[in-house]
Amino acid sequence: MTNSDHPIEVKQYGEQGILLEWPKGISRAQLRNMLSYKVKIQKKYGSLLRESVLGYHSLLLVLDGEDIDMEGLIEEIQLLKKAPLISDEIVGIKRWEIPVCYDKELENDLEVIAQRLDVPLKEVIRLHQKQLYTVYFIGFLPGFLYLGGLDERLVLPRRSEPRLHIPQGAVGIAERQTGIYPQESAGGWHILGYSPLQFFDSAMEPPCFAAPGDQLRFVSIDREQYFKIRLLLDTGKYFPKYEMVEL
Amino acid sequence: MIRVLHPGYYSTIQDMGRVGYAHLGVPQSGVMDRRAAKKINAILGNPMTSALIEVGLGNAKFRFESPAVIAVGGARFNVSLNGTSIKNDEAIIARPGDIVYFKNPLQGVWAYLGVRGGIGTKQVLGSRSYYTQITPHQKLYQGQVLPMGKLEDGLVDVPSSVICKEMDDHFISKEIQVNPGPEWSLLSLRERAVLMQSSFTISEMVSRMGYRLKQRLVHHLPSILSSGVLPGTVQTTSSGQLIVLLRDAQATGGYPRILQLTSDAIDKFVQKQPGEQIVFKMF
Repeated sequence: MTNSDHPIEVKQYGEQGILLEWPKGISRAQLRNMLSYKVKIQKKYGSLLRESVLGYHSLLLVLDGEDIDMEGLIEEIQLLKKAPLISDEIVGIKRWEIPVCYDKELENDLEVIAQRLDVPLKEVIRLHQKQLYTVYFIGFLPGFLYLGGLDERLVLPRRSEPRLHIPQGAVGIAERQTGIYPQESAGGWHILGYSPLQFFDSAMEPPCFAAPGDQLRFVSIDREQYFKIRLLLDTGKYFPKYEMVEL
Repeated sequence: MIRVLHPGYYSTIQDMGRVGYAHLGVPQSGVMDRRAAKKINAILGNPMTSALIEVGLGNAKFRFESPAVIAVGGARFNVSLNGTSIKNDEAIIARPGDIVYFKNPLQGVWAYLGVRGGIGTKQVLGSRSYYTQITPHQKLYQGQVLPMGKLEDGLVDVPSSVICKEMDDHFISKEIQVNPGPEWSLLSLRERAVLMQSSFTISEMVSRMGYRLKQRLVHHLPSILSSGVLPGTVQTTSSGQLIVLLRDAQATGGYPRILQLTSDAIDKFVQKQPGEQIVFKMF
């Protein structure tokens, strides 16, 4: 399979940046295509690359060094489109189990969410848990995962008044997205519950356990388990659970 | 060691920033005015990557607890050593008990205090640059003690190209050199003309993350699906607010990216104070 059926636009962005753009949209098929393209570029230009940042349908490359022939490089990357994709090389991904405590004692918005969606509270939790979510990319905050796959029945506009402090680990929904706040932050999402996991830890290598392409599932835990996992994490005795699957 | 007697409005430790973590949502950070910081490090014989104290808007006071070779630079400040004015970009000796005081900026916003050997605070993800969620502190605080690094490899040769002549118009010129951003081509000819022919005023909303401009650009662009952004990217919100992203900008954003400042232009732009005017120039 060649890449010609996936038109990619390649253009310079900044003095040392190259932006690759796929057709506007969010899909797993396209993500797979973007990831194999990224692998291909990293293999070919690894030493030149300072950053490679994925978006929903884009890949931003930032190059290192002073005297890079940007026009030549853009041309080369455009030609890469014609080369066969490494589609045979199945990219292995992880399917993570993310524990979430939906207990109202931890101060969540579940009652308001259930009311506004006109869905029973237990059904809100069930709908949130039954889906398999895909990590598209990481941005906004260190370790903030952009997840796709929220059930249509949980789509709700953002809060009209954003909160100044949303605690670390808060699991929220807004529009078509669900996500976990990796650290305390301001934000306008509705909070369903809290995950005890650390989504960004600069002492870890890599600092973020999940990667684009990975999948995750939310699993309900009670308050006791929530605090137990936090304690285990603090003493370095807990690692998020996952299984390997094919992308 | 250096003791922070007064942290001032917006003082931090910065170096050339964090490289290789943008894909995890980590901002690049680093000195706002790279040219100024490189110059000071060159004068001190430090590697270009040495960390400095960055003083934003002034009112910052530091006391040396041990001897050091120091230099100040960047914005033009009322800055003194034990009450006597000192000049930018000159290596001088500070003795224990000496106090360096950055009072207020005369021109520019961000000033630097460099020491031979660099500031020796702990590196996180390959950089000493402060950033809220990455380093333990976001800003310097009163009473904080900062270690100084050692120059283990001896003095670094100073390339003459780095000790460049100050461009005379650096603080005065309104012209900010730009290139088209990824969504530039989606602007109508009229919108482009307004953007390139108008003067814009720096608003009071300025931070290491970005500066907002006062005048709006009426446009028809929809928001974009989140995509990578860079320091120096000019974004426009749906209501036409223009935001120039700077060193602490998030790694991805959802507003159209209409212009991109050149790297020299970023150093010039960050030194514009609220109320000052700029015009974008594209070759």
